Amino acid sequence: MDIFSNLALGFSVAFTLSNLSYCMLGVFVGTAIGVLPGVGPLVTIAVLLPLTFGLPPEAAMIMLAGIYYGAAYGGSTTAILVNLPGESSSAVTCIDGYQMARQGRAGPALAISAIGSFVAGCFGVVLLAVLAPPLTELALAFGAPEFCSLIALALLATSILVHGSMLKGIAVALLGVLFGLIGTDINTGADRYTFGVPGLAEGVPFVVVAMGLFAFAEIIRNLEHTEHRSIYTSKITGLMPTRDDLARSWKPILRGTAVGSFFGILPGAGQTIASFGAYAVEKKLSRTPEKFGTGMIEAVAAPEAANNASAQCAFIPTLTLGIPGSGTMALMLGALMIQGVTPGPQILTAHPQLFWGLIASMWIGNLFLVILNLPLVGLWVSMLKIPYRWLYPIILVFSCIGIYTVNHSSIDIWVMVGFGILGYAFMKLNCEPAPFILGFILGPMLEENFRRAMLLSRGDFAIFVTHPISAGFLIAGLALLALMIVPSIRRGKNKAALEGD
Amino acid sequence: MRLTKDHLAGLLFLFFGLGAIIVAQGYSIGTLARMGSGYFPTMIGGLISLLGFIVLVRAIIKPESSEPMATIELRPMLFISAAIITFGILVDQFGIIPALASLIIIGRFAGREGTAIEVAMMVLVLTGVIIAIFVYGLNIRLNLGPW
Repeated sequence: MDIFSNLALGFSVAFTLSNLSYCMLGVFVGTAIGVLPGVGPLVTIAVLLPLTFGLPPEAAMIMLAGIYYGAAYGGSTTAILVNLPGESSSAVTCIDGYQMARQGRAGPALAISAIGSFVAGCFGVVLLAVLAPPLTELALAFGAPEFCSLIALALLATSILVHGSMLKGIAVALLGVLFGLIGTDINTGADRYTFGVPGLAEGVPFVVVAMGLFAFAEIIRNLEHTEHRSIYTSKITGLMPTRDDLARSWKPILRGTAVGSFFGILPGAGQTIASFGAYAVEKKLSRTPEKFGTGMIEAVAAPEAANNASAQCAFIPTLTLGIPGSGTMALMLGALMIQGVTPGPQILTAHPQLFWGLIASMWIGNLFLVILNLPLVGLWVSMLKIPYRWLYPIILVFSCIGIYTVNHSSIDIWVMVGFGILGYAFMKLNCEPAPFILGFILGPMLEENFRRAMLLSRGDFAIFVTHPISAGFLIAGLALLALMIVPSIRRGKNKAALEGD
Repeated sequence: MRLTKDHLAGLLFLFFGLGAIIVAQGYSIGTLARMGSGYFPTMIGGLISLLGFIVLVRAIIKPESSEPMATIELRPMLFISAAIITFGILVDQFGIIPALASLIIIGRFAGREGTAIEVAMMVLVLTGVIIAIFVYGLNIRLNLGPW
């Protein structure tokens, strides 16, 4: 079978000494930063992006992917130990994980979460390897109308599934599209929205947007409320789960993996919905649903598996179609573009080493995650005690130098302040910023494909409906929209997202 | 009438949406089949304005559907912005050491805690780490100081 030769190629790329070290470094740094309170995966990736610009594309992506799932795992550690989710997708882990920690069972909770993540990660990698070639085959047949509808679906799904108002989510995504248009129009050569600023002709660098919107705004939010946390650190003694723990967990892990993979592939759904979905499934299936919330290991195992499975599967649409389904994936896509790699279905034939190397390194990264995390729990716990007044200067310094090294331009730094203020305004007005970055990345692609589709059809909108695949995407988008108008589902979504804050 | 978050969000969207449309009128518009550079921005600006308008109208009709505007603590925002802007001014002219030092020192005033010694330590350690990673590790050419 072809897949084995592909995987062999992947492992030959991933198993070079330098790529192995980048993978390990990424996982380590990602976990360390993911553990830090008040620093989520979006901020982590945004701040560390410039560090990877000098690397070859394979190494850069391998390291970023390591940071990505390292940060996701680090978030679970804080969820269990401090009852503070590092990101919204580990919010559900807080419920029972923290209770386990209070009962002195933090060790098994952390271990099961690592094991569950590993199992799910392995499955996600296999799924990615199996699904990618046929999906790219399909995507190669896509024309402008198909891509246009797919991008619209991704934007719509992401903006209506985030926490809060659907209208505001869509508006924020469209604002992102608008800012993505800044710079020279490739079709006509006209400068748009540059207002004569020389650095803007090539568009706003996306690192600048990401750092302003996420890092800057996060810092200000964290400085506004100083919160006090209580950490259950005293009693991490037995790390290993008991035989009973394992017997109770293996089925939830498998079910969580299935739920997570499903939501991971869907654009916009993402990890938060996956982990809450897995929790709900376990509660439904459990013979003792009333005990959920009192420290049930099933309720840690399933969401953690789902979380990681969806984290891996989110790469499927990003890499094969070039359409990211979440803010974090938009950052990964941006990193690829900076490396000079055009994301989309061509990636598999044009850069097989990058693609399969990344897949192989994901599996290795998941292994590192288990190996690193269990012995290093003590280190993570001590990192939790770092006060925020030491952390934010570090983020500031890395952001500013990082942006400066991209173009050696002060203008980029000032533009970042502008996006920071915009991000802060979004936060104060209860608008989620994640759809913005998605719109920003996808905006130019949307315009290009829209123009081409309209050129093809001589200005007839019917082209989006007469092409069956395109019509399918549009129907999916409308169905999602209709679903969200049903009050009970909308309440469920907001509850899930609210508990994630 | 009390001011809610949705009032301001609606206005924000309207500002950017209408602004985008007005500016785009300076570009060639073209037709739907042959779009000029102003067509798509006008379309997007129109959609944003429409959404902003709906959000605003809904906030006016049902102010209870949105949270009231909380008071804004300006201190963190002002000092962090000032720190970054100063960094941008200093880094070209004087190099990264003075720029980083001012970034950390001005940034310190955004928070309320921390002693002078702590800040001094932070300047030393972070500047050292940055130089080690970017200048020596990644071989990026950066001016260290004005000398």
